[in-house]
Amino acid sequence: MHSYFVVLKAMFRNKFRIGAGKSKRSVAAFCILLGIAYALVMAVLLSAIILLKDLLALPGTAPVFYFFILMTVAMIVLIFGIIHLVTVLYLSKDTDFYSMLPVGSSVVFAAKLSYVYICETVLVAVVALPLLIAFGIAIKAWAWFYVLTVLTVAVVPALPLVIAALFAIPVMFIAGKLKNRSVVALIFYILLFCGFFSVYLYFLSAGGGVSEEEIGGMLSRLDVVLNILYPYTVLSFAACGIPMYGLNIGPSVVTGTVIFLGISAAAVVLLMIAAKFMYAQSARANNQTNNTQTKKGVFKTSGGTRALMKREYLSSLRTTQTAFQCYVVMFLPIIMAVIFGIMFGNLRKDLINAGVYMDPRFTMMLTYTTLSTMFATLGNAAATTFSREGNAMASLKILPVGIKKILMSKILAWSVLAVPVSLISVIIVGIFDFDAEYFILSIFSLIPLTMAFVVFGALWDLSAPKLKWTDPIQAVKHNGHVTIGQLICLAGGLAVMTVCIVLNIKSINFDVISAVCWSLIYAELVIFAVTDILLYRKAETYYNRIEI
Amino acid sequence: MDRIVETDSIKNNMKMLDIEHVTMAYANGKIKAVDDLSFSLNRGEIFGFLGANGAGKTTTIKMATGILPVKSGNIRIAGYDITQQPIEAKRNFGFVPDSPIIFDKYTGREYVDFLGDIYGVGKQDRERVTSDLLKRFSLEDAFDKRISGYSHGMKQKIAIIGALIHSPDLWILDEPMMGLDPPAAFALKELMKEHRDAGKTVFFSTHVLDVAEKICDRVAIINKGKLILCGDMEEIKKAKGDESLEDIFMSVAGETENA
Repeated sequence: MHSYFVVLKAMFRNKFRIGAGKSKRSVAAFCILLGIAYALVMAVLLSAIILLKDLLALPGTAPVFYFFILMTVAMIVLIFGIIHLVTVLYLSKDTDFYSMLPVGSSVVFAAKLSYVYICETVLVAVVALPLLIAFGIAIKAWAWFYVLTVLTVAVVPALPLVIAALFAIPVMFIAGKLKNRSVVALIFYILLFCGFFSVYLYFLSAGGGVSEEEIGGMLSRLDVVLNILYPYTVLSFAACGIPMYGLNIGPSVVTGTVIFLGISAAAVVLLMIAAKFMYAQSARANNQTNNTQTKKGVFKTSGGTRALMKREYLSSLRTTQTAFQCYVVMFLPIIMAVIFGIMFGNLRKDLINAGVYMDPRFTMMLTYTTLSTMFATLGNAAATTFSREGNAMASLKILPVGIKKILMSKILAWSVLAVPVSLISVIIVGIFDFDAEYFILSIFSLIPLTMAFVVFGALWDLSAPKLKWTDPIQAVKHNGHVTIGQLICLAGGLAVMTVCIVLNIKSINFDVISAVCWSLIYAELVIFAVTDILLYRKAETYYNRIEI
Repeated sequence: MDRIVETDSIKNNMKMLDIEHVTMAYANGKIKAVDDLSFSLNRGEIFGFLGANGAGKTTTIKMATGILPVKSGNIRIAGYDITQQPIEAKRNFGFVPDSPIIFDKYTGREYVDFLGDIYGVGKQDRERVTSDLLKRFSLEDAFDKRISGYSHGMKQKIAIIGALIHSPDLWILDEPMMGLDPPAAFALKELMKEHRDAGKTVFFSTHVLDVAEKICDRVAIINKGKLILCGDMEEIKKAKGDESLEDIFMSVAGETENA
């Protein structure tokens, strides 16, 4: 048991230690920023619960809302749980290290599983607990509600983690047969995200319906979901004190709780079996030597820039986490363009039904400004491009290649991906609502803006790269060049959005609003372009002063 | 070694590596890793760079290869200043670091292809250079496998092959014997001699004094960043009464940093 706690403690310390070269001030600043963001989101959600308290108190509404919160956190655990399980139990680089220690593999496995479970439980507690407690207060819930809610937080991750583990096993089988395990995992994550958003869009697409048939359809879909996720349904009824199975309230609550706990316990057992299998696969994969026969290759020549670009892509795929941070986030603008297109389309349909006219350019402008805030994610990979080099920066510096060519190859590598994403997003907006003037203006502003973000990220990272790391993910996670870059981007987009909303509320002619907003977007582009030029002029200095 | 051809820098009889009054200080100048170091390498010689741990060997090599900036003094490679003309200077050397940092996502061949592309080496030259070196280092079977599966020694071998892909005039190696098995260490020593015999220059740092004694034409010994001794191996030995290199080393730089 002692070994179990030692390994578990080591895992937490390794995960949450402050990286080398990181000042306490920057860590504190990051925590404060994170705290503010969390407080803001919670404030909005808690306000919504307080505002809706009369509606939530209606008979039959409380368990549905409780179920909705549980399902949301379960979905979060499912998505991040898969990533977490696969990374910690299968793709982890510490397997070799732990197998050297005089500690049984079952102890290491138990510690790893506990680590994932604890992290997911904390995630659930942070997201769901304040909301559920606020909800309990809003509906004047009985004491048993709070007892069950605390219990729920500890048990809720079990079910989604089992599903995550079951999803992950076929992925591991495929990955085990291929050379690049992290690429397989990355493709799997992308498919998972697409699947998740498809389900979300399926429900969203019905959101604008106001006819009775459509409402009926939605309710029948909700029934299906309630039946599929039966353990959460019975728990929601039990927590809200709704009798089930024709029993009185007391026996009904006990029965519901026992069913939930029983299914969760079974899920934990299943999870242990699946996770043990994953860990065994990981150990086997790590012990595999490179003795397999390989086909004799041939030399392939290419230009220097292309060779550097290929190196850049390969370096981004060093681990699944770095690949995830570089590539998966790139899908966000496209997803947002689709979501906003459907959402605003439904909104306008409802308003038209209610006899209210809304200029489509207003929602288009809101979508464009949102996209401009999202485009920072397209620069994520570029914003860590030099930090991800780590010690390999030495191998770059001995090459007879100037920094401008290196920069060009890195910028080109990420622009080749970012610009099409940006273009697709703008086209999607055009498909939902086409306005020739807006389309042209967006093409000539948002796409250069994407390029400007990519260039800005690369240059800013070059100015002070974080090269002292032991795992490449440390160069990406909590990297100020990413977080602060995104905040700047967010601030720019939100500023234009606020101006647009305020002017629209004041019933200013929309042609004037358009002119003001587009001017601001182009001003943002000019600011970034000038900043890029200024930084580019110092590129040589930045590069030369890097010491490895 | 017919693959090595005479290049302009060799014909012109210039210093292949010229280090002039180079100083590298840390902690606001309080700690000097390299202290007013000056020496130069001629063409067609093997030059051993010796010193205890922390003597400043790797720092000097890092400055010579452009990894660290030269803040004080000058370093020229084949006549090109590493600070003023870095591209030209870097074209003239091949470098094997003490712990090879090679992207493990590459196969050995892809790594060589990458360097070939950067140095502008044609397909046929790649074939010619690697076929000989792969045989010498018994790396043919692993060449098309991912570097992630290589042992430390194999990574060292592929780094050596990569450093020689463009047939550089100056070959710089930092502790090259570390991690190599005896046949590979022998092959490396032979390769260094052939490089010298073809009129090119080898500059390497090492702790293995026996190796330095056997293959070096000249040596430099540094201690605490300062040059203690530099000269022809035979002359040094004569001047010191035919002592072994180990005895000479111990008498001039025997104190380790912890002593």
